[in-house]
Amino acid sequence: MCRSDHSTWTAFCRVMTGFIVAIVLAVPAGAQEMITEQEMLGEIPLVISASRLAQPITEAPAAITIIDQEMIEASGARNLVDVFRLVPGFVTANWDGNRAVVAPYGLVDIYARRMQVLIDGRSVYMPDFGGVTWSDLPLALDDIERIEAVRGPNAVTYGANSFLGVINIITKTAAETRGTYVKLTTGSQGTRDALLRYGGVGVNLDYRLTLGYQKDTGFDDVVDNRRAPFFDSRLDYRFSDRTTINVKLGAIGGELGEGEDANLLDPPRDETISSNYQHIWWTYKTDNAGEFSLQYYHNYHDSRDSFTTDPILIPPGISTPLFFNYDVTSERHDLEFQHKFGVSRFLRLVWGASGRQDKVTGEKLFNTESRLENNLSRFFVNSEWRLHSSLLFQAGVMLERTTITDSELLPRVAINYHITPQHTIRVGYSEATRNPVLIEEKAEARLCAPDLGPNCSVYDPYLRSSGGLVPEKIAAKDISYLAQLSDSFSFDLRLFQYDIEKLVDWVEPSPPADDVTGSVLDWVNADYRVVLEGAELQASYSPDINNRLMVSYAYTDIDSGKDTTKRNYTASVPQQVASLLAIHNFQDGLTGSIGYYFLDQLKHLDGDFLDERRQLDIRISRQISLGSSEATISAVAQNALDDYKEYRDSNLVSTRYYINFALSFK
Amino acid sequence: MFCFVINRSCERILYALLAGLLLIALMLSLTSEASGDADKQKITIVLSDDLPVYQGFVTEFRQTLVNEHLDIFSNVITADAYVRRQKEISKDTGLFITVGVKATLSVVDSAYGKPVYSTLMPKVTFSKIKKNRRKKSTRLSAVFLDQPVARQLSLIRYALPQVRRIGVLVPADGEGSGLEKSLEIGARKAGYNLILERLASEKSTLPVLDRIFSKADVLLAVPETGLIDRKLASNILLTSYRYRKPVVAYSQAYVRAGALLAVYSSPRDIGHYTALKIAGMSKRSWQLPKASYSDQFTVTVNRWLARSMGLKIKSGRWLKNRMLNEEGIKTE
Repeated sequence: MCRSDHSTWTAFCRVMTGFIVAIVLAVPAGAQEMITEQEMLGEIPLVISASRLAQPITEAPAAITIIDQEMIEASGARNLVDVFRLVPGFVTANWDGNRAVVAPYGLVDIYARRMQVLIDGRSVYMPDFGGVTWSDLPLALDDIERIEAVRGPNAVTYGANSFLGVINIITKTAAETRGTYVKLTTGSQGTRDALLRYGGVGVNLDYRLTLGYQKDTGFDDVVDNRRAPFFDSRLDYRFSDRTTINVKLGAIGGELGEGEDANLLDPPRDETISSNYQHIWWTYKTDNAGEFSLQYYHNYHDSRDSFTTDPILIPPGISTPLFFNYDVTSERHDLEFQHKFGVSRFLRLVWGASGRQDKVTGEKLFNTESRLENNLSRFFVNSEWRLHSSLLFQAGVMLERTTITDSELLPRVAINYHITPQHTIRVGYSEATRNPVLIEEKAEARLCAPDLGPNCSVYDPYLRSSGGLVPEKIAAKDISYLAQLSDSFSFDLRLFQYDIEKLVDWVEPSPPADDVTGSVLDWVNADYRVVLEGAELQASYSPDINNRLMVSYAYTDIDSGKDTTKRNYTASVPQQVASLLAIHNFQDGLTGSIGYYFLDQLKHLDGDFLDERRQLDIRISRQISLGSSEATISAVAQNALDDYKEYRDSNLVSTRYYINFALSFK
Repeated sequence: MFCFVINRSCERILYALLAGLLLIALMLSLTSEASGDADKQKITIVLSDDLPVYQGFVTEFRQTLVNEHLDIFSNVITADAYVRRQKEISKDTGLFITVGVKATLSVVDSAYGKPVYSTLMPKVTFSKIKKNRRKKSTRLSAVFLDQPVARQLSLIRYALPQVRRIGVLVPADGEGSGLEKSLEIGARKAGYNLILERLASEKSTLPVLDRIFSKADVLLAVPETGLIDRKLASNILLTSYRYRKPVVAYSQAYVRAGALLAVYSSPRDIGHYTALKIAGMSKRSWQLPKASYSDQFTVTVNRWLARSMGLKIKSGRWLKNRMLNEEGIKTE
């Protein structure tokens, strides 16, 4: 199977695909102990590669963008979220110094929940609010091997919530991080980070332990400081030639600043975070490139944020302190089984099933002391038909059901046609759903005035889900053209149309006249469709190993019909998003890189109107060999151009500087 | 039949077309049979199988003959087809060119005295076939698929100048293939420290690999009996990545899977070289040249892997030109 992002791409490659058959079939008669040309020229399963996909990008059924280690480093990003600006169409924003959102195409509020995010196959979006708490992931950027971002829905492969896109973060194997590594970072906004990592390698067992600490004060004049000590670990155990067992454990703690100065209802305070995960997966390789895998993980997230305000004047004329409790604990247990195998020389199958249990406790948010449960079960099948060496047809389906929704059957089909080995056309259709999360379906939060009586439910709720939500649905059609024009230049152009309905949104029905709070927020499914149409381009030019240029661009048009809610979907989708990353290696271990990012004007669903923004990030680093160790010093200037506002008027981003010092030795 | 619904004249046209096609087909088959007796000096290319790979050999072979202004007719059949009509085909053939092991095995004992030029052959296998064939009188030669040791070492020297110790995994029973001997001589000549490790059994793969990678700077993967195994290749690549030491391999597939470099002769390269050899042969006596390695080869580099290992490697083309220079062959 031929790959477009590889150094040598010749017609010969296409011709080699014939040998996949040869390896599986019997050796020619009379030649049992003799080596044949078929064996010498035959395919070897991908072990180490830029994509480590089971298939090359030109044969993937969806539009994939790969961000590798070099790109992550060159971008100068300190926070993972900033890296996603490199994916065509992805909008990233910090709505607070310590909280960020990533959203393909926009359509986002502070709980960006229309995307699936996985770390080594473990889903990290939250069962309570649905988004990803990026600030609470015990993951060091230096431990990431690559990120695969899928643009558009892909339920069949990535499961629930793969609505507008999927982010699949793959960490380095323990063997790839052998030795000791220390890194210190200091810079603007009171940034003080430290990282210590150790990796050991044995005959059958490799392991890594990472200890990290991050601290910064967030935006100026906003209470959004962050302090996060964490640890992350990985164990890779080669039980036999065919069996491997991987174990990962991690935890993070610390505080996040919340609230606003001079806001009685939302005073400055610290929210305490405590989160941990355990993840284990087992893989068994069968003959004929087949594989069984079994995975279990447990996520735990606890956030403590409660406070009593100063006395506040509330209707009907009483002055009393109010007590707010935003404590939430959520837990997830997930078990998944998968089997990949070749049925014949023309057909490969992947099938599997998973069961998940989500539990959330948030007394004041859900008005109940008991734990709310939302369980999910899922079954999927994906088939790959090689109709011809240049024609691939893939069809898959996922069946999913949760406690609060009915079963959904979600298909995905794609046809990949190689006009020549260097030029591929892909046409695809995919459906996905986003299941309502507990806060949308079961919220009930009331104001609590503790001085007025032991029973806090004196007042009417300010959050009340009427329930009965159905999943949001998306049907996506796209056509792409992938070209590998030479060893050094490739690009991928895509046209898409997403038909979205039943969007779940906050609404504010008119409150009863005597209501204290003045408003009650509810969640309902929209009764209109939203259609997104657009074009995306990603291109990569790398004439030699010392130079790389990557460009991404997305143009999106939105038609949101009769937008009856308070939200303005049209304004939340920026018409153009573009990025450029250029890397150059000078001599003597000196590397320079520039990142340029453009984001059209937009207004996030619950944010302020933002003008178009242009960001320029510059990074310079110098690697010095000191005997058996290596030191790297790098300086980063983020946003070297004009200041801009992010998400809200209060978040002003000016130029930020960071200096990193890293030392690695075996 | 579907025409009936449309109109009568459509039907007639269709029948006329069918009749015409049948007539043409008949004429073609007659002419091909007729031309059969004409050229006793024609070449019969026997392919091991009807796969695109072998077709690649044929396309390049024929194109090169055209480029060399050689008007030689070559007939292409598969090994299975040959076996069914051996006598008849051999009668009309001046020279057999077999592509691959299966084709060679099918032809070598039934060539009816015609010379056999075996191409796309692993050297080790050719030696075995030559030794074990029944008709010792048949003229037999080969174009090897593998690369001479000197060329592989030359690749290492140009691509990885800092390497001093080369590790090679060899089969347990030290086959009389002369591999170890040629490796030792080649390495000594090139100034390398050769580290050989024997692969005793399947169970001991990982410890052997650990030993090799801890002692050598690079592992040279060679296509030898018992060593061409996908599982072994996977283990080699995994261990290579753990130690951050590269693998120099023998096929593009290997490089795609995770080896850093490879020098290999593709079926097209072999087709090209074979045609050049044919050009130099007397068309009457078909005197076969000595068995040789192809001087047409390709060098492939896994750029991503080079980057991730922190190695600055020149391009495949640059390396190939340097190597061609060294062998005294015209560069491209």
